[in-house]
Amino acid sequence: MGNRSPVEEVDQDGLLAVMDRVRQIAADLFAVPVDGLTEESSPDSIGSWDSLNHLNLVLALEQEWGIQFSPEEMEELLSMARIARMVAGKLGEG
Amino acid sequence: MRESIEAALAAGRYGEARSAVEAMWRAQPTVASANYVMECAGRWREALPGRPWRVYFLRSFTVEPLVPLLRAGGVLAGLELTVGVGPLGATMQEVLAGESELYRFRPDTVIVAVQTRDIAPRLWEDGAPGAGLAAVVAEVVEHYTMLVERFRSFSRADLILHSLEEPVHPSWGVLDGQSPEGQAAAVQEINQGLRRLAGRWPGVYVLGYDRLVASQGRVHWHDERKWLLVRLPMRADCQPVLASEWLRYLVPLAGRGVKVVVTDLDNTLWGGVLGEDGPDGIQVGLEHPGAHYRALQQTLVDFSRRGLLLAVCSKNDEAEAVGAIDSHPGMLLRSGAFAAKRINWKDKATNLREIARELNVGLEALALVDDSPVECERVRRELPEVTVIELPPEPVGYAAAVRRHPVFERLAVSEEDRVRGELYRAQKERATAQRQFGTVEEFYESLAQEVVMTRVEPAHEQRVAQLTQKTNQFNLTGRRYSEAEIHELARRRGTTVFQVAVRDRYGDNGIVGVIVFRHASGVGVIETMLMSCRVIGRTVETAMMALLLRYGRHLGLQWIEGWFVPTAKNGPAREFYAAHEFALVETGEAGARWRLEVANSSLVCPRWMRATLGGEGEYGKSIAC
Repeated sequence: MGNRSPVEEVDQDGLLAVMDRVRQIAADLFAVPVDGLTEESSPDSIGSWDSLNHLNLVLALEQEWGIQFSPEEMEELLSMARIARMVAGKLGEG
Repeated sequence: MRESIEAALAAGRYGEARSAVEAMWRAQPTVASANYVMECAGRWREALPGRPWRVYFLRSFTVEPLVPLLRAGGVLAGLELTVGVGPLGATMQEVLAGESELYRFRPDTVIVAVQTRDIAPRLWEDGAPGAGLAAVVAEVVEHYTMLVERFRSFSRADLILHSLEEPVHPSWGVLDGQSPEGQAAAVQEINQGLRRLAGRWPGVYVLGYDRLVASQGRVHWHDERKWLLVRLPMRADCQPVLASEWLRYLVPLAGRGVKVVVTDLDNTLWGGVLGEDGPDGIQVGLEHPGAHYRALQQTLVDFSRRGLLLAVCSKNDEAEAVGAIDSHPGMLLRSGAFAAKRINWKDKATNLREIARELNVGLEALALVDDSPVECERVRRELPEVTVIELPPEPVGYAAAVRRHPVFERLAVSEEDRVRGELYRAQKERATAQRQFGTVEEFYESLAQEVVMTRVEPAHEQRVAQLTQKTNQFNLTGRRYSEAEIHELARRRGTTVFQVAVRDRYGDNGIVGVIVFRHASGVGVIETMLMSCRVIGRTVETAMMALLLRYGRHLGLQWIEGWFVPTAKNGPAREFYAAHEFALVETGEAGARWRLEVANSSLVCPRWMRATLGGEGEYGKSIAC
């Protein structure tokens, strides 16, 4: 897993579908409207994205797709766009 | 999915909204969906209120991300949970200090979520078989014994202890299994110790954590990276499994279990459609595919032994269906197993209402098991109180879909529970008899009822608590007590807890009434008086009051006082005080206070029953009626 960039070889339709779910998950967790979330939304722009909610976000992603993130990857999940690319990358690994 | 939920919520179709949210939750039990479930529940709360319940965690690992999962699952099972979480790894300190947050929280239930690696690190890390392990076992069991004893000296809340889990890889590998003193054996011995502890203390229960871990696969369960990072020991997708397991305890403890399982017939108890395939064409038995239907029947047999009643509701020709039930060689359940039957062409909502009325229970006491999505949806819309279990498309999953539902769980099975089906059959005979008599008095005479009221016996504390949890109709104050509370009240000076047993010519009704009576300085107060639906309308309450009056005279009381606290369902008890010579003293927010002057009361037991105040001393004599 770890060394390969998750951005490689992700098909664009898959990425968009993942992005939609990621935004919905983040909206539910951070109690913000889904329309208020952009690809750039990050802990800096969302007040309720604190450390406990970051753990909840990681767990929600893992629960949703049955995937797992390493501690190093958890630190990378810091914007909607990065999250969607990493999730899609993991799903692509099959 | 969300659009249909939002539309149903906006239109006030709350039963429908809840069932859509439930379907979403089943498909995606994530911490994010949990927030959405709670948001929706906030909107249907007024129409479909849950029972408030307070849960406190004593824990040695991170449970915070599991709390939203627990609350969401709870709200869909009819529980409004308030959850408190104790400091990490401070279980014993919190239990020992009477002033700790644990007790200030006033929990209804406390869950001790502790793992082997925390409470017995030596056993977990270095489990070489031998004498050392035996010492660890003794030490851990002693630790829990002290924990329970000290906890009980401060709190009457239910206490749920996680059992300890075996390591995935024992220190000695396969050799561990060759010795009765191995690492796995030591863990199981501790768990046996916990079960013995739970057996000794009312209101203490063991949660089979080891079985739960194994059910998901031990290797799959553990997440060492998150354990080291944030003290969260299990994988994200196992967290909803643990939250559901907690609910299996909380639902019965909070009295939200159902009492009756109503089942469909075609493609539910058997494969195929009786009206089309005929009695020889339906499938049920020991082979595929009939075995899957038989497995569901075995599930229902198990439930009936826990004290649940079974009923049938099916669109079929009654004579033909009963014929198939009683004569098909593969059937496990015969028609005698069902306390009520509605086999006709009416809609299910109407039939379910009738079943509830016939069995004298509320609609919230019913669960429907049905394979038809259309029938299920219709019942959800019309009767949102009923728990609807829609069977999965593949019959191989039937039994599991029903077994995993928390509303069928029981934490105690009394003798009453085991024979409940029998009790209801006798009830039917009584109802038939009632129709044959000209006057109601003649019917009462014919019943030859015997009422015996005694102080609650230790063996029946559990049944008495269960009655306070489940009795809604004839219940003057609606107070609920746990088994531990009844145990404590029964030993408290100035308080008497009565159990009331009723027998008649059709059989023993078992313990069907409870009075909690507090008395001091010439005044006795009825804290709780209730009577099971099973004996409503048979003047048992008058016999109970006559016996209580006799007890009051024995104590030398001047007044007997009682409250009527109106609830959504206790209409049948509304007239009780007025009909038994009590005078209204005051009416306020909390209800109405009534009073009876002991010396001036002429209340006696009805002449058609024999009533006995049991126990030692003067009041032990029976009252001749």
